[in-house]
Amino acid sequence: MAAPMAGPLTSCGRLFLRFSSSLLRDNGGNGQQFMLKIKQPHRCLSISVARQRQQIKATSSLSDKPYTDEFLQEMDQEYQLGRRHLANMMGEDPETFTQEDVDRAISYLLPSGLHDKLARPMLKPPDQIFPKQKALQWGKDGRPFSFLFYTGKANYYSLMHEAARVLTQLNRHEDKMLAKGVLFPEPEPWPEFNKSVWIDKTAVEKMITESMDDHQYRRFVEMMEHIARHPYAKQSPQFIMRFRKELVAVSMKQQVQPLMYDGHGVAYMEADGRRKSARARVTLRDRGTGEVTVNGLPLISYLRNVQDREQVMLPLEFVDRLDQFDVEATVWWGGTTGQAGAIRLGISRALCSFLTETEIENMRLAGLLTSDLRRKERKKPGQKKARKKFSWRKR
Amino acid sequence: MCMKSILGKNIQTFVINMEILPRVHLFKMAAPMKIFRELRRKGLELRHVNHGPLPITWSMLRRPYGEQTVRYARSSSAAASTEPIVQTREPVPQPPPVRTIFRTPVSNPVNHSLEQEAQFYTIPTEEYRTMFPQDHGIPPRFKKQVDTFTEACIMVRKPSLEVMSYLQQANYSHPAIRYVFYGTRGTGKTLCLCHVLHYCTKQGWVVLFFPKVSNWVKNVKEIQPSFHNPERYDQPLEAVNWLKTFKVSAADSIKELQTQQKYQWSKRESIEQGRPLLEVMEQGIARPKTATDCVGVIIRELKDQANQGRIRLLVAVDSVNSLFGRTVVRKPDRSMAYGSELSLIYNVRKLVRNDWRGGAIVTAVREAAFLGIDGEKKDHRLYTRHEDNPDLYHDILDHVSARQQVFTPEALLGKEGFEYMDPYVPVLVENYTEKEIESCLDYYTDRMWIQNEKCWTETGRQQLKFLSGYQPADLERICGPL
Amino acid sequence: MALSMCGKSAISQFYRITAPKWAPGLDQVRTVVWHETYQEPVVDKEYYRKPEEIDELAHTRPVKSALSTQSTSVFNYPEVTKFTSYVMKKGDRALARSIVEKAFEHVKRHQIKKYHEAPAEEKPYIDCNPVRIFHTAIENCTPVVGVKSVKRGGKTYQVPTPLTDNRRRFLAMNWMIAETRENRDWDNQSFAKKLASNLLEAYQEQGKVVKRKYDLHKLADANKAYGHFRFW
Repeated sequence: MAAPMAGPLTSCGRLFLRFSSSLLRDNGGNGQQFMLKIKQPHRCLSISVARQRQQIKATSSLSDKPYTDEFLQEMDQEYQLGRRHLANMMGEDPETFTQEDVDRAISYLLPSGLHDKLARPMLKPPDQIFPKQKALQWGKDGRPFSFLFYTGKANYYSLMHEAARVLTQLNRHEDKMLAKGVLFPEPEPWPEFNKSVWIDKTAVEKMITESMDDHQYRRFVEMMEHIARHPYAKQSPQFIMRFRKELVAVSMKQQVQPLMYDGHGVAYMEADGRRKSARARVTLRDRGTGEVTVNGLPLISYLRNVQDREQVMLPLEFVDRLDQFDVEATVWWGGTTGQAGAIRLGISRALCSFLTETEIENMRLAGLLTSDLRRKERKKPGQKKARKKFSWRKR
Repeated sequence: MCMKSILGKNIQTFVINMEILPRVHLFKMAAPMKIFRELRRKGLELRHVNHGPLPITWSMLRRPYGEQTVRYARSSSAAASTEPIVQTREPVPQPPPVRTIFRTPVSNPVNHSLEQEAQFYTIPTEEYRTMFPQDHGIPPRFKKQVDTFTEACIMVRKPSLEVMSYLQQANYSHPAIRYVFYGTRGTGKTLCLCHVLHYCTKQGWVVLFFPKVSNWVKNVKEIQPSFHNPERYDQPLEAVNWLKTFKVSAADSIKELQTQQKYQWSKRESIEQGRPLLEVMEQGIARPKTATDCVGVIIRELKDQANQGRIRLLVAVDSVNSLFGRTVVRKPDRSMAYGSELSLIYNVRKLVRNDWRGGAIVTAVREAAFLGIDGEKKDHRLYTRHEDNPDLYHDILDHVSARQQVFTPEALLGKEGFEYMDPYVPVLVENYTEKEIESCLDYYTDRMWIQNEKCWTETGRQQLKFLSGYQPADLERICGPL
Repeated sequence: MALSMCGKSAISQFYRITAPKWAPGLDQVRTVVWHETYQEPVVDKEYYRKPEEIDELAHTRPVKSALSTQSTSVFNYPEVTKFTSYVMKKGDRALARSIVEKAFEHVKRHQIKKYHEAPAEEKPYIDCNPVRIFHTAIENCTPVVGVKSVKRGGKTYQVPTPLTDNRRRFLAMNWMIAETRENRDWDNQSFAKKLASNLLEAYQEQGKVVKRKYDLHKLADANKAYGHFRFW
């Protein structure tokens, strides 16, 4: 979310230097409120009580919302105007001048070496500059509407209250069913749920327009899990699914390169693999006998450890093609485990070109096509190892 | 799980409770013994049964590890350890019948031909004990295998057949021909040598077998200056050991032979001309100080007798490359002894020279015996230690980074050795072929050495072939825990 | 009747726990490179023989890389791999594995020798498979109940308690290793040899490791009076 840091060249409507003046004008010249907005656009209300009182006095007479609709409308008009100006400057058609063109034009016309991207000149639609704001939650008498106002996170806690209400409902329903004698309800299939995950913290924050800390997010997820595990959870799908995000389908189709053929018409395939710090380049040749050469040596001379040889064998064994291919591998860096793992990944990848789609998918599920990203964890200063601490006694 | 159907009527009251209570409640319940008896009768798998008030958990009712047949373990009371344990006696799965003909009844190597190739033949136990007294000279893992399988079987392989056919056709009025088995680590050079040895023994030859000469240039505990040549050093312990084994293995073939001249061991001790050679051996065994010289005398005598055509002599030297170049034996002045400075090595070297006729010289070069070429960097972990403990040796190999193996006779013999041995017939011993490995796997399965059911299937056999890389020693080694 | 005895809350709670669903961010893991959506790999050819039984969800989610200890090889038994990990010191798996394999080899040699010496009618009952012997031996050492220390009124009580499968397996394997390490009877023997003899003893339900199991059972039995402390 782009915070509207009011740098001198940051503009919403007009491109140059007009931003602050327009804001000031539109808010009745109230410098106090302007400063607040600039500093804390998302959290207008999470400030000291004294500040809030001042703010209430200042704003309650005008409107409930910090950014009025009219104001946003005007900003939008200014944005459109600025966009068309830029299109004219660039000699392009203003009707088809998109946001990407705007960004390109600004970086061309106003090149900036400033390190912070937010400090560079920009022209964005107002809904990106002015984030969704929380509605004011108190009346003209200065008394908050919500009883949770003084928790400081009214929306978060009302969400949790809502969740608790749903859970109570479900429990009540379960009691009813128990009274009817249903001990084991038939589990209902719920594919939408299974193919989704809980939304992450930022998404929840955006939804409730409040910030929350990690602990609070955990509490929230625990609560939702509790509801979702309820045998009758499917009774209230809307509430649960509001906080679920559909899983992006994994690219099930691996990038399969077409086979290559050598001078004798024998199919072969090349692929790279890596594990830990080792790198491997593997050539898989069809119509072979299962011979594996690593850096010019037979496998058993190169890898003396049986576990490493098992790793090299794994992909070929997994698809029952141990004696179909000849493998030629070149490895660099790393130790034996890493090199064996790198060769394994290289063979798996090269093998894909020879296999059916089901077999490739099976290999994926067996974790053979995933590059192992784990690395050695660094040692920390003030500690003995990555995690181990120096022994220490209180006196 | 429906408890009611399993338990039957006679424990009805309990059943009602079980049915209506949720599963959590079971944890709190003490189980009456009769229920468990009932369960057992009904065939429900119960892993552990507790008598008395201990709580029963569901984990007791789950399947045990693996696909085990389940035994009813006893109660936790101390009485359990004193009572005999009632085991369900079920026959263990047996290996499937083997598919290929892996064994040949022809136990005399004289009759071996390409027909028996890749098949195992059995060395009769008595002959095995005479040829290799105290398992002297055979690879340690093979020795263990002989113990475990209660038989000594060697595969008839092409390299040994090749040498045997040469021996058959050779003209023994010409100088002795030298054969050198060579090949990468663990391909079976020593066993090929043993096969040839058996062949010659059966033909009635006198066999002079020097197993692992490398032992004489490494890990030597004791040396002493020679009696008749102060420039050279004797190794009494090694010489006595060799004499003892030679006395057993060659007792029959040399009992007719007599000394052809007088030998003076020391100022007072000597042996007259015309005495049996056995006496020389006994002298050496009884007086270790003279043992090294006795070995020299025997070598000289046998060589002479072969020259005169009285006997056929086979000289078999394992790790012949140790005869040449430097050693790791320290002389009294702390400098390293050279190979020819050790009397034993000096004598065997004389034997390897082809200045005699009426016999053959069959040798093998071994990389493990290789001490490196003079002035060249070498990996001490590989070349100097633990050579005779195969487990340790392989453990060390596993920790040494991969490298190109040195295995050709030219490289291993070095310049000096090559010039000394030239001309010779190199015989390459290679890894198993497809036919050989099939036969070997069948043999192991037959001798109960491969117990794993997975290895009795085609995929399992393929895996073993892949993991061993068709190398005989590795195959035997990785089959160990299966 | 059911409701009156244990109460509805107990029932509902129980069911809620039994329906396992995948929960993100609830595991106590400090750093993992895999995003929470990654699923565990299944390296088992049998699993893929029945494609209709594979969870549909599995196809939509990415998979972690298979570990280097996982394979479809003839040597691969999860229990043995676990045991190897317990034997391992300072991450030297190659050494740990070679030790375990040597122990298996000793076991096998011992049994084969026994097999050849046995009369013909006994032979089919002599098991020579070291892996099967290992499994039986570990199973024979596995305790049924354990004890847990509970502090009440300044006193510590050993309260008998049921154990999870994982804990039981851990105890059995660790006793096996500890007894082998502590074995002072033949000090100059290798660990593998001592382990082999311990395995063979445990296979016969004898020996120190099995005794340790009975000791624990006895302790639990002796402290059954404190059983009520278990419901804290």
